[in-house]
Amino acid sequence: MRKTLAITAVAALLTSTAANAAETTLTISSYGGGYQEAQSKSYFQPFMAQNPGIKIVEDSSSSNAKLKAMVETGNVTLDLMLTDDSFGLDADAQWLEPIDYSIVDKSKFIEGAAGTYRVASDIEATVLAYNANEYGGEAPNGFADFFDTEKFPGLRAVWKYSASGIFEAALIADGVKPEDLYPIDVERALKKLDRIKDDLVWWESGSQSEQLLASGEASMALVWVSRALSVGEKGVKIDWTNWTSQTGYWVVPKGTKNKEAAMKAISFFTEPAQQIEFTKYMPYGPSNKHAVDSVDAKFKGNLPTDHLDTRILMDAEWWAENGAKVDLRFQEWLLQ
Amino acid sequence: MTATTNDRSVPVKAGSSRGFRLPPAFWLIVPSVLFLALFFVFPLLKLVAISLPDGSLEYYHQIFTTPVFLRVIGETFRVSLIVTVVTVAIAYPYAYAMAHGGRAVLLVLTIALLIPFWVSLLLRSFSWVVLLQNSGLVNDFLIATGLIDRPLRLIRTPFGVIIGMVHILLPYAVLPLYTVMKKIDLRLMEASSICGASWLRGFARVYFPLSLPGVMASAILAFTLALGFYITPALLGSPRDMMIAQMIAGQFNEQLNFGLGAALAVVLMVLTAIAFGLFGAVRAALQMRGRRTGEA
Repeated sequence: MRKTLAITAVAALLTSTAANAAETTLTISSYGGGYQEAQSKSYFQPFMAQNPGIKIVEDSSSSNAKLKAMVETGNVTLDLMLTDDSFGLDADAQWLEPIDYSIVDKSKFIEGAAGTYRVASDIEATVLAYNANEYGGEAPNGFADFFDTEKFPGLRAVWKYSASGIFEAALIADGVKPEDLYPIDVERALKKLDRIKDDLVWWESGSQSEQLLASGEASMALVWVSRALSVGEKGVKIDWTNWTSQTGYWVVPKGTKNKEAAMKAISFFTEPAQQIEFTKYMPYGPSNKHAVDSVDAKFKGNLPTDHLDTRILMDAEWWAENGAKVDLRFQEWLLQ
Repeated sequence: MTATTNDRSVPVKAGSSRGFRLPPAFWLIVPSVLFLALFFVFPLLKLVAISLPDGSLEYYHQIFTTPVFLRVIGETFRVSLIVTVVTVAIAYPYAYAMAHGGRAVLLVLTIALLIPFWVSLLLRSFSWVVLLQNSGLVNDFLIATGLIDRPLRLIRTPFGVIIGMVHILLPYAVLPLYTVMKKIDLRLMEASSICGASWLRGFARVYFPLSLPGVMASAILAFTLALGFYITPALLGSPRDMMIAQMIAGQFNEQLNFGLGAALAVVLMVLTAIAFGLFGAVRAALQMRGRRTGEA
């Protein structure tokens, strides 16, 4: 018995080293769910088909904290990670490899999509979604109506995260022009939020935001566009008058052994063909400017990149610098 | 009761006076000690080290000078205390019925207790959301019967947090109580009634003191577990009911401030240890009093 076990173990070891010798294994982490499935179908599998020497292993549930801990302990097992706006800025240089723009073509991206340490994968949005059954024929028109509980009564669901765009939404509703948002006037935003505080419900996961909208518990919500669309058959509609953009970014952890392959993968994932394919499965817009106009018809009209004119671009640099302080004030306000 | 405490202290003293010769049974605990050292003590020390960058106490200073943190810590202990009292108050009669209600009652109550115990905590918290939300079953029912015309705010309130936490902690409180109560000789109650005591008096003077070790054990267990609750207050409470575990998670996952998160975790641990010590002191005081009244 013991002998067979030992033989199997040795055999397993031999085959795995043999496999490693033949190809590079690229470990990629994304956010799981339908989002990652879409990436797998439009990015990962075509990439493997084209590069037989590179095998992609998927990990789900990206976490900036995990990446940071990984680099700090010197045990980097990820080669490529999908992250959000809050990470991959110049301030995060100690944990990331700079993007190699000799491999990735910098000129193909839309504005703001190519940074020193990150490259946008897709343009996402936090939108005002509302339950049309609740309001009959009337539809809210922008963030001002989100804060108008007389005209549009009912609970409002908002992400419990200071950098979710809620401060921006409050200021826009209070009459601030998008170009004058930064630096954020925190106290003014909180004063505006005070007016609807009793009508706010906070969500902490995408599924929770869906549940709040679908059950009718919340009449309005600031949610990710994919979540709003997936409860569309429950009467949930999107008002694109004002929306804040969120972005999915590719980053490469510092110290990865497969840096070049990772850069090659980024370059491939952001090609028009791949990004157009991606829009078949997810309502997120491409970051490649040559793909924006040729997106798949399925979500046409509901892709963030179809509404770039009303987008409120969040200043990630400002948030990176002031986020911790604002968050503390936000927590304090929540407790009041 | 006096006898049991004496019994317990005897072998400890005898063992320690024997010097360096280890009893053979010692080797039985080696695997668990190794396991704890590797997977508990070592990471714990790492955590403490992260909270003290270059030996600096800045994060602790920040915690004790920032009202937000102090308020959340205070709130955590306040909620945990309320939850503990409510849980033990519900668990006590439940355990009593299990211990003395006969086989059929025991079977039904055990099943009712353990089946939810096997369901994941997240799922149970979500179920409360479905039941208690404004558009949930309870409110729908009350509105349909005409008892109320606007939904009651049952979740996103302290009430929601308490109900969810009590439900999850109930088995932890019932089981230690049941073990203690099962061993209480009911003939003592008969004896007290023969001596002329009413049932209530007998309960207060005989049964309840004998069940106190169970009450203490279940209170300690419920309280310590309550301090670390995370998902339940997040789902069933309003932000005003935030508990410290949510804050620790926020520092790690959102703010990426490992140092501050680790310092908060250490503070929670130290405060829990202090609370534990206080429980121990109360328990010792109760036992002393019990011994004195026993002698009198």
